[in-house]
Amino acid sequence: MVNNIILFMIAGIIIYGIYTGIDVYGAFVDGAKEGLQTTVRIFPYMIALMVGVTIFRTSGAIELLSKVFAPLFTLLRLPKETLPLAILKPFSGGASIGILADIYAAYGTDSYIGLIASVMMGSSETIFYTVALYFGYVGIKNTRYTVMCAFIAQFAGMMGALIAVNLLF
Amino acid sequence: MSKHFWVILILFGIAVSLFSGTTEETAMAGVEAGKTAVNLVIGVVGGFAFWMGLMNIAKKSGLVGILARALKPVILFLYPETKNNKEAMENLCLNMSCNMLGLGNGATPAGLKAMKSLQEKNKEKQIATNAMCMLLVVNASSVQLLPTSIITLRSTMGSPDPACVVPAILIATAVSTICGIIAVKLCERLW
Repeated sequence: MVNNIILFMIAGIIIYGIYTGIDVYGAFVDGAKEGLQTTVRIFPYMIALMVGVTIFRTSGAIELLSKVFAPLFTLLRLPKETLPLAILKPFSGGASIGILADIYAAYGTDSYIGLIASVMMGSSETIFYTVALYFGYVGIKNTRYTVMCAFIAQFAGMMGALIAVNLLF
Repeated sequence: MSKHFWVILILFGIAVSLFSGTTEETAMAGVEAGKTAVNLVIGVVGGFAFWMGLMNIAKKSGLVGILARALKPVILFLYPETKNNKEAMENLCLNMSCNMLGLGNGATPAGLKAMKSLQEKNKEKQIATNAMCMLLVVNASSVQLLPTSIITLRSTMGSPDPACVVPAILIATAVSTICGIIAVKLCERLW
């Protein structure tokens, strides 16, 4: 279904472009060129972040932090099996999809833990990745309250996941 | 901010690896990480270029302008400082639309372009403006209507009903985004 929507979108954009009489091909190529330049500019930030996340993940830091935060999760009635996901998600979307797969394999996709993990994964984004990329791109050094607010949103999403799963399943 | 987190991430990781005896793997993985990043970039570069090409057609033809007029009330509520910044407003609209459709490879370049046009009007180039903070939080808490990657993973892992989590995700993501927006709006006044 999604692919059909995308196809219609592409057709719609191109047909409207022809209708308004612009150089559709030229506009696409110009945009694509800009896309390539953008990727080159964010490349170093992605490498830096990947190095940091990989060292953090391989060292066993997630297991350690999971132990530290376990009482908090118990207090909030969140299953502690979803902790590694909650810890890694702010750093890396790709790595957290791997953790989600581990959770599915261990507890089943439609178990209580599996459902909470699915909703948690879908309700938050990769905070540090976004911050590093967006602010790095334009050279902002002082990000003010951004990270704090993003974490408030992430936390609200986790609680929202808990409430929604209990409500709907 | 992100600078400090990066240092903490690495030093904390190294410290943990010393205690848990994973120094060998950690060193190896750290060195190899650059390669993973290259693969990641190769994976997204085509998508970025494709969506930016398509968005450029939509922009040149005035389609984005129409979309921007429709979304103007929302954009002005979230980003009041873009009132006289047409370029930023259009890019913010594209970013918002792509996010909702779950087109991450379209949302990111549109968001980056929006950042660039916000930065042009920014008087203090090193300090984030209110709109930039809002853009980051909205993107970090992702208003996604169809979480395709999760549904795909669930179905490959043998879920009897892969899409059954969609309503719950919509609730949770709405809660997360609304709380994020409220938090930013409060910080705008207090900070």
